[in-house]
Amino acid sequence: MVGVASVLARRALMLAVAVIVIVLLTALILEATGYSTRVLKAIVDSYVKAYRQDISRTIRNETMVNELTEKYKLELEEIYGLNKPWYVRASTFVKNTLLMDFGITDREDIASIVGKAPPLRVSDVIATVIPRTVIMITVAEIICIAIALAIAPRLVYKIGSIADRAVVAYAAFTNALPIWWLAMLFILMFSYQLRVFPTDYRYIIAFIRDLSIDPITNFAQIIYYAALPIITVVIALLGGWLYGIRAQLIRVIREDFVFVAKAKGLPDPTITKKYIVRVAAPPIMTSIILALAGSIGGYIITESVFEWPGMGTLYYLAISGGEASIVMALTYVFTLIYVIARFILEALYIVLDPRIRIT
Amino acid sequence: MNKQVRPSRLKALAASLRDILGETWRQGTGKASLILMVILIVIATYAAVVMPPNFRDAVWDNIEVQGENPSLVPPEWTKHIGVPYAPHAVVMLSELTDKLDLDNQIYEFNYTTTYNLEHEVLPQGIIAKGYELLVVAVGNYTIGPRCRILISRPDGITGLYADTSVTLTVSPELAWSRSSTIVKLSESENIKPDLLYKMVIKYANESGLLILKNKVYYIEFNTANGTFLEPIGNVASMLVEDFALKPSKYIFGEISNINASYEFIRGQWSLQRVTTSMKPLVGSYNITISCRYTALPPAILSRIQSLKPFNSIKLIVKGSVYGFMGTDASGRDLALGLLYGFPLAIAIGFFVAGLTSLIGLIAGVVSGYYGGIVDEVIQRIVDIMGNIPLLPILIIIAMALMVTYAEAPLIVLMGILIVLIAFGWGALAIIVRAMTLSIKEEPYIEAARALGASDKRIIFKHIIPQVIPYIVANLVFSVPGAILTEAGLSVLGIRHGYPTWGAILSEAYRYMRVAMEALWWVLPPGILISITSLTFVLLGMALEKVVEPRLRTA
Repeated sequence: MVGVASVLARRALMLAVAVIVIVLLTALILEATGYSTRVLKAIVDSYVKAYRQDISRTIRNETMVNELTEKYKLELEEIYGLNKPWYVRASTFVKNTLLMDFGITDREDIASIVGKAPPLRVSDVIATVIPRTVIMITVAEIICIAIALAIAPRLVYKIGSIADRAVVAYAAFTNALPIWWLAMLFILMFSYQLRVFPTDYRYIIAFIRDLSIDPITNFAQIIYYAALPIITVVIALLGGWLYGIRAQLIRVIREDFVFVAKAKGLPDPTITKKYIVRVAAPPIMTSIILALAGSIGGYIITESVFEWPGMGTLYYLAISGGEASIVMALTYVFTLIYVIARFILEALYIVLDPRIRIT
Repeated sequence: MNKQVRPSRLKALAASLRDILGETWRQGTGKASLILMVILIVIATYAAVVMPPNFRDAVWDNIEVQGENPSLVPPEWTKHIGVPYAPHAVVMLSELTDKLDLDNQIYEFNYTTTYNLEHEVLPQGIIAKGYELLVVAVGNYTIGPRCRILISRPDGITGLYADTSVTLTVSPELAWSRSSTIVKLSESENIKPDLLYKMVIKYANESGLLILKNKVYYIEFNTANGTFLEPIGNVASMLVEDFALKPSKYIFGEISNINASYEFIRGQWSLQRVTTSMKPLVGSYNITISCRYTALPPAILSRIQSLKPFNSIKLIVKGSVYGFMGTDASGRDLALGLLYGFPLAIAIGFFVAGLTSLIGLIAGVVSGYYGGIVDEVIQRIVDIMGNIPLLPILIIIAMALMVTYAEAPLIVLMGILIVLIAFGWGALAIIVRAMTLSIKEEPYIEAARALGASDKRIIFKHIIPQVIPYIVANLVFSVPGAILTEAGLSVLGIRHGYPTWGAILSEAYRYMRVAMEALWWVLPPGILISITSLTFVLLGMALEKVVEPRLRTA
């Protein structure tokens, strides 16, 4: 058991180092490229301009207006940290992010997708937004996985049949199809032209918020709003899942022990269940857990196309608005979830498969 | 020794590639994808050769060119599937009739054409562009024509629909340029803008006749220049205002109903809004462009007879259908943009896939063959890169580039592609490393080493030829990834400026709420992206079966 513990500790250390490096890199990219300085400067300038116009109405004295504007500008630069060099800002970011202290945001657009008035704590923002992404992306992934797990084992004995070829062709086709284009097309067709589904998906904010007040109506509304996004993602991802699980099963079906089982005259369903699926389970489990962990990060482009108020949209708003603290927080949370999922998997492997301990 | 090795090494490589290609061709999907690939490359090459190198500035983003097309209209062929339409007509007028009125010293030229409207659909507007204007220089002042467009409608009404606000463009390569200086002449006889005056002084010959070559004058009346700023008071002036905004419906339509809405404000009724219902008027329209010189000195009148006020006039009636693929909201010809997208997509795909594969190959072979600290460093880098969420980083870098290099689209695009390459080689490097490790242990490598073969020889002669098939399969597989990512970034609003299919889609997406029915705008770029990606996916699958025979099923 000491061996297991030391192997696990080493892996944990490696993954922790990876998380820290990723946070460092993100901070470096945000600050060293001058990206956040530029975006923040533009924001400060627009505030200063508005402020100047505002006070010009009441104060007629030119020099006084200039003085006040200058003072306001300095204040804003202090708030946004523009008066400090980039590496100071970057190191503060890294420190705060690693300590899970993500700070506060007062952006209108970000507050509007949360559904509350600014200022908001960034950790609260992320906590409100995650369930929405789970409703859209994670649910879609689960549906895909369920369908694929139901269909793929039935295909392994019919490799090369019409059904099998159809699955491969479907997988190839959806692999080449951008999900966000499918989303655009479906919105255009089903929401605008046929009017079957809603056009503005932001209303889901209210239905999720009021779920406890009137569960039945709001749940029905949530389903109505989530239907098209989920259908889109399922259509786009199902092919990949079918193909992937099929490939894992095919790998096993060529093993000698399956051949022996067949020679023994065991019925096909038994072979599939006991000899194939069971052996192929670990790699399939790996991809399922990693996909579910990854789905929580959201799909930036597809969510943006639907204007779905989830993690992806938040990510995009934060990046385009130069809200570096949220970008850092999201990257951190996302990486952390992913890395924890990987660690759990590796721990499972080591516990379940003694061979892995040697390497 | 090196010289002897090289040809045979290349020959071996070529032979192995030829084998792969042959094996691929023998499969159904392989054949289909190779044919598709050839078609893609032929179209891309054709587009790259035929289209002007400065296509973006000269055509795609050129307001002059956009202005000649109707905006947001479906392709012309939709009329064959029964969609009612107003034809798009472009006529070059060079034949003219002239009329001399000696008493009043007026010389008038008329260019005439007809336009037929068969369905009850409104055209979007009329533009007339004149080429090579005749300006008469008398002493130190100039006389230009006063141009008008007269339209006589099928219902017998003849109206004057444009009285020259002639626009003089003083740039020789006008039609293909963005930054031409535009001098407005509201009444060409009286106003002498500096630029025109200087040119006249420069070119005027002794006879007093001057022809400005390659200059385009044009009369455009599908927009108002804000001349109707009188206070809103009565129905008539509101109609005038409406006419200025949408002249086309008054030219090609009949008013079937006028509604004025009043509101009781501050003790009196005041007019709020006038709405008109228009019915397009079907039939044949006679369009005359009349150019009239007045107050010409008699000495010149006799000489002008053999000349034309314009060598030719391009008259455009903007229809409700256009070209092979329709137009976008700015009036760009989508067929051209989509065609230009072929070489761009192929170049983006191969650039990223090629460099990714090359770096993956080098890193993998070095890592596997030399081992030790180099191996450790490369493996750790790959580990960390594999954990970084690529898309956010890509968006951050692309946005930083977009803000910094707004005027240099190539830098923005290259920046995006380089990030894709930097994050893309890891997975391949791991596979190549594993292969190198197992090949390295083979007895024949030991034998080669015992015979005194150098590392270089072993790598190039024994390892790389065996790895190459995988590299080719990987290269083909990673082409669509680059194309799809670039398109996705465009949809997010990261604009590098090149008209890629993704960029066209992103415009369509921005206008989605306006252009809800514009399927001709949303469908083709997505279909082209999908077909191109599918070609490479299928080819990759076929190649994979060749290099990994265990995958063969049939």
